[in-house]
Amino acid sequence: MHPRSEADEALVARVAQNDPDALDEVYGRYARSVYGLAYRILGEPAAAEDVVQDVFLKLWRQPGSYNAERGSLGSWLLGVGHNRAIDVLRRRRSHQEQGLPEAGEPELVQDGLVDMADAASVREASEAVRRALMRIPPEQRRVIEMAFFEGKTHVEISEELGEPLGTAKTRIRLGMRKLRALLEAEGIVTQLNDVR
Amino acid sequence: MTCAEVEELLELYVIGALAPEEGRGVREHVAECPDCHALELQTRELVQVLGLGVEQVEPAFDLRARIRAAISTPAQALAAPQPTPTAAGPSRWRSLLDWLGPQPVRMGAAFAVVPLLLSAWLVFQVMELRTEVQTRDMALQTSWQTSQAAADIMGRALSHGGAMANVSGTERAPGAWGMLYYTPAEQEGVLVVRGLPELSEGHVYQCWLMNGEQRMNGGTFYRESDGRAMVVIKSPMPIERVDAVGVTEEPHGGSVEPRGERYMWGRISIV
Repeated sequence: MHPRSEADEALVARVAQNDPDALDEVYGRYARSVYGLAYRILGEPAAAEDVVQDVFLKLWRQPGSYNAERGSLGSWLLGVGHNRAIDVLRRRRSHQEQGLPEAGEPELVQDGLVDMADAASVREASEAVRRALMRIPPEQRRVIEMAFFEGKTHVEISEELGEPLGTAKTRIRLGMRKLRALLEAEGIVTQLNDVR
Repeated sequence: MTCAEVEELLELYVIGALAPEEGRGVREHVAECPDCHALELQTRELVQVLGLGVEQVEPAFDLRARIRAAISTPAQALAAPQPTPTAAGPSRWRSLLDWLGPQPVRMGAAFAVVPLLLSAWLVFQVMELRTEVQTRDMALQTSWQTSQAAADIMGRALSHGGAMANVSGTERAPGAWGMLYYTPAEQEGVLVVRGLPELSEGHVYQCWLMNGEQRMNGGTFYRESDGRAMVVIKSPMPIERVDAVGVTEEPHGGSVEPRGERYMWGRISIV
């Protein structure tokens, strides 16, 4: 496991002291990742920019909502951005289902393996994730993308693909487990510990 | 829900694919079961890195300045104060006018206000221009850094030991043509193209490096208004091992594999 970047923690401490240059530095490091993800989900530059703005304003106005002990700043920003973008997408689709996750701080995994503050580490992880996605069966990749990038439930996915209810559920589960195995082998995610 | 049932649903839960009732059940269980909560956190790590599988994209050059401006304005000040209607409104204005004195004095006061308003307007315009210059400086800096990198790569490609490959337009872009500049043993190249057609809203050009059946992402890019484009390509392997390079149309943000129409293609061979 790599040590968490101290530079990120120091930056957030400065953000908490209302230093706009610190937020600017965080923006320079992570805006492209957050925007890329938001735009991939929403498909509109203006909506994606709004998500990016919301994410960085959240960090500015509530720096305490990020807990460095629970994960990297980059992962947190991506998680907030993903949640926010999916919420926008679901509201756009007029989904008012209760129980769906609202925008907010995602729970982070302690000591994730990817150092988001290191561009080379992020690039290596990005390529590894793309390679891994290409190596799982296309039908499993498709349903994972529909869930992660389009915010669809397994019920909606089954309806859209015209398949039995349990099929999408099984494909997502199997696809995610294959992804984990591939990314564990590349050292991108931690080995799943037996917690029982 | 039992732990076994929750374990079967965890991947769907963390990716947000569960129906509301199922999600509620999992959430209630993990809130009370430390083992399942620990398993949930480990499973979430996978979802967090999924976000890295998307191409990084530069947002609009003025977004940074907009965020900067937003943090400079207190949240309370962003809310416009609502005018408070009063029954005595008209008489208050009458009282103010009376206070200013007779008509000629009021006229004089009105003329005195004009230069003040003009000064305020000029100050506002200067502030707007300053913001615009700052944001353009940032965009120019990013563009300059990319151009510098491209110039370095092309310089090496054009020297002894470097190489170039022709890239031609397909039926989708018959007027497009370009050149890939690279050094065979290196993993960077520069693709310079002309004559690319405009894409529909929400789409981007994406470059692919082909090795056998493998399709490797070379980066996304946009064309200039005159159809020209330049992109620095980063390859996961030395470019001399790449068979061919292609350009397709993909959704904004790029794709993990080529899905859109192919606009350009070229075999990697020495020119």
